[in-house]
Amino acid sequence: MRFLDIPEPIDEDISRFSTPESVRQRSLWFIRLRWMAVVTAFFSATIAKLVILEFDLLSIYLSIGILALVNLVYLLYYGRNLVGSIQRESFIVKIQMFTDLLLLTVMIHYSGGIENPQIFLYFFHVIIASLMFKGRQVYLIAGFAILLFTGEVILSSEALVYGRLKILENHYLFRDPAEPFVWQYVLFVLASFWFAILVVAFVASSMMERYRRVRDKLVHKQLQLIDTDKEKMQFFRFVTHELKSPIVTIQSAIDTVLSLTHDCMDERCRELLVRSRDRSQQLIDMVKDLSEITQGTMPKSMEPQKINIAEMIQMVASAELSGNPKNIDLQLDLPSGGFESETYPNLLEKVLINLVSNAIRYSHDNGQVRVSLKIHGASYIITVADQGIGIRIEDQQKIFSEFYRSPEAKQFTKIGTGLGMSIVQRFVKKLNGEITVDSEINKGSTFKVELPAHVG
Amino acid sequence: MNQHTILIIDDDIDLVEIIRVNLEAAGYKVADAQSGNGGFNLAKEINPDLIILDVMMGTIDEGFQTAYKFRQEPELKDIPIIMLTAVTQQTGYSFDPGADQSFLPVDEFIEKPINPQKLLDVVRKNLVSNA
Repeated sequence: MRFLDIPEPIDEDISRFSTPESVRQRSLWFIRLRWMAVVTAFFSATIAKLVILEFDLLSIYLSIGILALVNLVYLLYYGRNLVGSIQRESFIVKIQMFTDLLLLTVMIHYSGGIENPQIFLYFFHVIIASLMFKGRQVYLIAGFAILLFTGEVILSSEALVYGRLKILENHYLFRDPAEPFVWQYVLFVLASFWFAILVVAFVASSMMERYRRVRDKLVHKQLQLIDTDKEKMQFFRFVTHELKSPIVTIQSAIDTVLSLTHDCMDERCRELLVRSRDRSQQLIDMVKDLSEITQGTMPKSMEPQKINIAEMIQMVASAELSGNPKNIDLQLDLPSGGFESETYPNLLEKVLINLVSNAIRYSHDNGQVRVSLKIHGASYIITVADQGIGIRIEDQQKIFSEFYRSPEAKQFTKIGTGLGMSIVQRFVKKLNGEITVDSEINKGSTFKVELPAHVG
Repeated sequence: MNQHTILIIDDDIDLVEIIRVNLEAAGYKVADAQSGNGGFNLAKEINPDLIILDVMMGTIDEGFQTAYKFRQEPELKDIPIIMLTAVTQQTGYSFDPGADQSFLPVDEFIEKPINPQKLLDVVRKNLVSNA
């Protein structure tokens, strides 16, 4: 139930509930829980009255009414008062906890006191306190629970009647009023209660402490990772920028020399130049890929557009196939009539280009590449499958990291920067989709991209 | 045959030289400038038949600014402009002059690195269409 879900710590407050806002947020959660408690207590008391005759229903209803009333008061208070200092917010929460325990004790008193098995409800309060506070304060709440319950037992105890000290009237559930007091029973229940509530306080607070520590560590690591990623992107951007102009100029120069002197140049020199040209082309491809990766954010002007996905697949596939010397058998399995989707076309196009060109690149001569599009509820799945060299299971996640190329891929072809799949993964994420790979070495690879029909 | 004059505006002197070698080999007369303003002033002086302009010089859009200036100058506004774009400027922007004619004041784009044959084809095409 979302209504009763424990609120997540907000923003920089990681997990300690050290900001007034997060204390307030949790306090509002208590108020919601309390409404549930009011309703549950009302119905269970009514039903219990039908089963157990000796039962002061009116007093129970009264206590429930008071609980509902104070809950309303808290709510009104929060409605009228903005978030205050951390001390004030925590103080209000503590008041709530003490009032809850007090009202619980009143209800237990009117419904059999020590005989009422509902005394385990005290434990819930201690557990809830451990979600909110740290060690010592949890024991404070537990101590208050012990004090209230033990006090109730002693003050309404038959043992004290004889000393004329009996303050509270006893309400019996099952006991025979003629022979009510069995002191062994009372001591046994009290001791068990004290022990149990202290154990609960210990277990709950130490588990929460551990959880907070682990969470802090995780959040800290995550922040570190984000920083590292930012630095990496800055580095990529720098490298791209610095590499771009010289490589472009080098390649233009080689092309010019080749174009103007190809008739009168020594064949071996020409070969050297052609090879250098190919290598500079590889560098240019890398610069292009790097610059795509470093496009951290999409241009603001970019808006999602409605496009026919099937048409785009067809276009990309035939463009990638044209001029390819491998004689690849390309199979397209697209829904007749196409499929319209709202997406960022240039990102999706890059994803498709990379997947299809990889499938062709790592296919053997005369191999088959299948591209299919299937509609799946509010999303669609594009599958690109080849029968090429495949990817070892230990490499299947690595291929999404920048610059990684599997040993088989490197051996199979020199072409490839190792950036393509990293781009694909980033762009699929930007399109709110998911990519999975299924591959077997020497059998081929299947990439599945699931994307929402409307990019949100 | 009347020899056409082509003005190259680019701050990378090596690239200017590369374009110059190709164009001169094809029989064109070439002038060059290393900044938008320098190119604009030189154009007023020599009145070229075609301008090759780099997008990114001093600033990221100096080329575009210069192109606008040419288009606003009555004597120069009809000279065809070919714009050089760098490899990485493709992403996220449309460089198709057909689609953005109202926005981009140039006639054609050539992506770097420069392919000599493509360069000559584009130059010829724009000189003919302007003849």
